[in-house]
Order: sequence, then C-alpha cells, then structure tokens
Amino acid sequence: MAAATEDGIQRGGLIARVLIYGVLIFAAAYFLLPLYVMLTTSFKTLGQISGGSLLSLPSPWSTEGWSAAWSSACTGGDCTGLHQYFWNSVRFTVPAVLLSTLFGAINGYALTKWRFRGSELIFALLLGGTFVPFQMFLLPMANVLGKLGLANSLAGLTLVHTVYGIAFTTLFCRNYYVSIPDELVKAARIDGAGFFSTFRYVILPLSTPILMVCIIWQFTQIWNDFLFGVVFTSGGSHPITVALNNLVNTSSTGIKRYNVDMAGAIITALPTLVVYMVAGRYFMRGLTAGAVKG
Amino acid sequence: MAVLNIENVSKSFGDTEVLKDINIEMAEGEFLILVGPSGCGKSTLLNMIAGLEPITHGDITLDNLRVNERSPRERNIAMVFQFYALYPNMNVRRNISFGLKMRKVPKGEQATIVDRVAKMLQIENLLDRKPAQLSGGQRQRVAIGRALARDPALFLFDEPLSNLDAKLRVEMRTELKQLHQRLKTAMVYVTHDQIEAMTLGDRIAVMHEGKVQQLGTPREIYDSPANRYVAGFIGSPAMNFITCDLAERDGRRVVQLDSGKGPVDIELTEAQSAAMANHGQSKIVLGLRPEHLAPARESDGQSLDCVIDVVEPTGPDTYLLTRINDTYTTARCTPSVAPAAGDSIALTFDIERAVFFDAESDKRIA
Ligand SMILES: Nc1ncnc2c1ncn2[C@@H]1O[C@H](COP(=O)(O)OP(=O)(O)OP(=O)(O)O)[C@@H](O)[C@H]1O
Ligand SMILES: [Mg+2]
Repeated sequence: MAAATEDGIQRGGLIARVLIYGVLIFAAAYFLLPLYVMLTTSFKTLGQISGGSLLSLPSPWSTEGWSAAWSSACTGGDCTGLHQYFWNSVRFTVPAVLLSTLFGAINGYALTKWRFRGSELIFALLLGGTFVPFQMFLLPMANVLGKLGLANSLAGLTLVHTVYGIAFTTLFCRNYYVSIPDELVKAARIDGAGFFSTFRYVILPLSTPILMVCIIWQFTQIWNDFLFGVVFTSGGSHPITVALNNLVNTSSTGIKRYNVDMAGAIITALPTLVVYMVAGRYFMRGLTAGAVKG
Repeated sequence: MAVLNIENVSKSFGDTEVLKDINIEMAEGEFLILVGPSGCGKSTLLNMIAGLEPITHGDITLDNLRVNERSPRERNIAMVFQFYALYPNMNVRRNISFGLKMRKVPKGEQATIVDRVAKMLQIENLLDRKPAQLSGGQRQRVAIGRALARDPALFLFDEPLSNLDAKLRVEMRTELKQLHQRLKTAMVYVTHDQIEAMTLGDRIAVMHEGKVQQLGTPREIYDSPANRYVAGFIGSPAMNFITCDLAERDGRRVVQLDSGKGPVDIELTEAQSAAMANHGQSKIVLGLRPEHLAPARESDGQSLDCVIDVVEPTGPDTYLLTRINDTYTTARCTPSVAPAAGDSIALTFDIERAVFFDAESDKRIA
C-alpha cells in the first residue's frame, strides 16, 4: 500500500496515481496548447508561419506582429492599430467597474443591515436583473441614452455597464454581508455612527474579499463585452473587443497576417489576466475572525 | 429621580406579540436585572431601550425625556453585547475610542479616556492588538471598555458573560459588581443565569412569555415569589412543588403528605391557616425549597419518614431525592449526616418558610 502522505490521507496505489496525473497533465496541455500557439505565432514573421510547423518556436524572435497590432494595423478604414481602442476600453471599464462595485456594496449593506419595509421585494427585483439577457436591454437602453444625450459616447457605455452590473454586485455583496454579524452594526449605531459612517468604518474594511470578487467579475464582463460596445458606440469610440474583430476581418493585402491577429488577441486579453493575478491575491479569508466569539 | 422609565410598553413583530405591557421604573445608580428563559423578550426590551428596535406601544423615558423616536446616538446609553461585537479591523485602542471619534471628541481627550478605561480594566498591555488576538475574557473586557469610554447615564448589558467558561464568568461577575460600586451608574443587565441575577442585582425583573412576572429585590424574589413560575425559576436546585390536600385539625389547617407509608398531617402557621381559609380551596400546591427540608433531629416536631432514592453529594451540601405525594422531592443536608440510598429517615419541614400556590392559576396564596 502507499506510504503515509504529508497530510495523512491515503491516496491509493501507483496505478491510480499515474492515472490521475495522466488525466491532469492531458487536461492542462489541452487548455494551454492554444495559448502556446498564440504566443509563439505572435512572435513569428509571416514567412515563418507559412513555412514552419504550428508548434515550432520562432527563430529568430520578431516583434513585428506586436508593433503592428499596437500601432499600425488597419481596423476597418483607419490604420493606427489597437492602442487608441485599448485606452477607450480602459476609460469606460475602470469607472464602470468601480461604480458598480461601490453601488453593489452599498446596496448589499442596506439590504442586509438596514432592513426596511419592502427590502425583500427590492432584492427579489434586483435578483431578477441578473437573469435579464443582454439583448433585452438594447432597444430601451438606446432610447434612454438618446434622451440623455449620451448616445455614441464612452460616458453612455459606462452608464450601461454600471447599471447592468449593479444587479450582480448587489447579489454578491448581499450574500457576503449576511454573514457579518448584525451586532457589529448595532454596536456601531450605539457608538453614534450613522448609515454611511458605519459603512465606511465598519463594513467596508471587512469587505476586501467580496470587493475583489466583484472587481474581477465586473472587469471580465465589461472588458470582454462586445455587444454593448458595438451597439452603443461607433467609429473612434469603439472598445478594443470591437476593434479586434475589425482588425482580424480587415486585410488590405488579402493575406491573413496571423502574427498581428494573435498579438492583437493577446493585447485584448491581457488586462483581464492581470486583474486576476493582482486582485486574486487579496482573496483573504477569515477577515471577520475575532468580531464574535472565535 | 428615575433614570429609566418604561411605561406600558409592548412590542410586536408582525402579528406576534413578544412583549406585553411592561412597566419598570429604575432609580439612579440602580443595578437592574432582566432574567428569564430563552425567547421571553429580554434582548428585545433592551434593544428598545437602546433605540435599536422601534417601540410598538407605550413610552420609554430616559432622564425624564421621552426617547421613543430618538436614535441610539441621541440617547445617553452604552451597550455591551453577548458576542462582544468588537470591530475586527480595529485594534483595541480604536475599538474603545470609536464612539468618541463618532461623537467628535478631540483627539487628545480621546487618548486620555482610553488610557483611563484601559487602566480600570487592566488591559493597558492589549491596546495595540486586534480582537482576533485576544482571548474570550479579554474581548469581553474590551467590549466593556468601549461602553465605559462613553460615560453614559445608563449601561445596557445583553448576556455579556454567557460566552465565557464557568470560572472566568465568576471572576468577571465579581469585577462587574465592583465596577458598578465604583461608577454608581445605573445598569440594566440581561441574563438567563439566575445566580448572576441574584448576585448582581439590586432588583430583579423575572420575565416569562413577554411579561414581567415579578419585579423586586433578590430577597423578595427568593422568599416571596409572586407565582409558581418565579418560584421555580429562581433557586438551584429548584423549589419542590408538592400538590396536597388541605384538612382542618383543632381549628388549624394542615396539609396531608404521604411518602408511601400513609398520610401524615403537617400543621401550618396561623398566618398560613388564615390565608388558606380565605382562599377556600381544598387542593393546593406546597412550595418548599430543598434547604427547608432536612433530616430531622430529636428535638424537631413535625417530621415525615421517607425512603431516600438518590443521594447527590455536591461538596458543601448533599441533596437527597425522595418521593412525597408521588412527586420527586429534593431535601438538603450536610455531608456528615447524609444517609445512604435506600435508607429510610425522618425529614423535617421548615413550614414557616414554605409558600403556597393555587393549584389552577399558579398564583401565590401564602
Ligand atoms: N426581528 C424579529 N422578527 C420576528 N421575531 C423576532 C425578531 N426578533 C426577535 N423575535 C422574537 O421575539 C421573541 C423574543 O426574542 P428575544 O431575542 O428578545 O429573546 P431573549 O429573551 O433575548 O432570548 P435569549 O435568552 O435566547 O437571548 C422570540 O420569540 C423571537 O423569536
Ligand atoms: Mg437575547
């Protein structure tokens, strides 16, 4: 039989172990291979791509595809690469993520700690909001944006994403805040804190893990969104996802420039990866330890 | 002058009425205990005094000012919670000073107050720790410190010691009593521990099913309980309740007790006889605390031969279980005179200390 493991749990014999590792390695390769192909292709020249094997390493390494994707590739009629659209996406994603997260936290706090007449109903309605498909938003939203004078603007897109995201962030935060003891809020009220100072000094400092969840979720949703971007903006104010699509589908010479396409795709995906890595580190557990008997 | 006055207060959550017509008036410097079983509405009443729960009916007055519509912030009270409710992200110093900060007390003054409170509770060495780094007893001290920092007109405690282990609880109980003697500030203290109630309180309100069953000093509650519920709730082991028939002998009332060897008459005092005559029923409930039923000495008059079923030594006292009128009854004696289980001995009644209840309404007769 297998020897005692570090944590004292027996994990079966050698064959089982080989099988488990085999499956895991296969699964990892299955998911990592496309990324590998994207990365290597983005550093190849067009000649290497058409001549060599799909899996070979680039030689020599070339950054031609990357610089073209960033600053000179054509997206539709305009040939300045993705950089302008990248900053467009940053300009509406960051405020929309922060605003929807903040409002979600305040909503969740109000719904759990300051129950009022009808708060359950409001929560049910918000919950319904998470089931509403994107497509149903389009026409009414276009109408509203037009009336507000925000059609075809990044401010309009920020508003759309903030409103759509609040249902999700409220749900996340509410479910997190029910586990924070009500007595903490009562203690703060006795100490003389009102609605906002209780939120600011007592609730918010305990919310890091759920705020990170909201930020990761919202950032991924908003950055990767295509539909709202294509419907509510046009031309120079498109988000990067729309620009990437245009870049891949525009070929002035009739030749598919795979290295530029791959570099563009990676540029588009990179920010979400970075957010995962940075925010994920703050997923701390047990922040409420010590609030109550522990 | 009353610090706190609760007048005809009731409370409903939707259709369920959890508090009914509560009336309590509290004098300055008084230590008032609210005691009762789980769910009787103690916390609800305390939260209403604090302003955390709206009042359905009636008025609550603090320092002669009606406070029904005032927020906790506008009431001169401080509260200590059962589960401490320390702010986990703040260290002990900031936990204690948070209430001062919210009330815009100047920084320098805050520091002086924190130091004074920490010294009083002997937690000076803990000021820079987070709540998670404290033991249960230390956390409760900090929670008390947070209340002390405010120097309010009235302290509210909601079962502050119920999370501590038995030994620490007794220590903290004594400390709280000393603290009260030093501060002389009025306190309302919720507990379901009758020992805490008896030892700490100037007065005790025994609550049950949303009503105050009796409000009185520990002595009054113990010696003259208003009804069978109060009598059974206070005292450990609990008071014996023996249903028995009344008879008359030589112009005196007697109760008939039977330990399985034929009925024996126990004569009541004159006052008790008179009360029974007034009451007029022939079946009553005799309430007798274990310490008023003990092995008889030669000189004792009225006694009853009983077979002891169980002997329970507790250290200072030994409790004897026997059956009288088909009810298990507890007697108390010193270990040196304790019989063995199965022995038959004579038990004597301290009938002057006995109380009597109506068999139907459970109200006290005498
Ligand atoms: N927010 C609420 N909504 C509905 N019912 C409630 C609410 N709060 C308390 N109750 C009910 O009111 C009654 C009294 O509750 P309360 O918390 O005051 O009891 P308690 O005497 O403090 O009990 P314990 O000793 O267990 O703390 C209980 O029956 C409880 O179920
Ligand atoms: Mg309670």
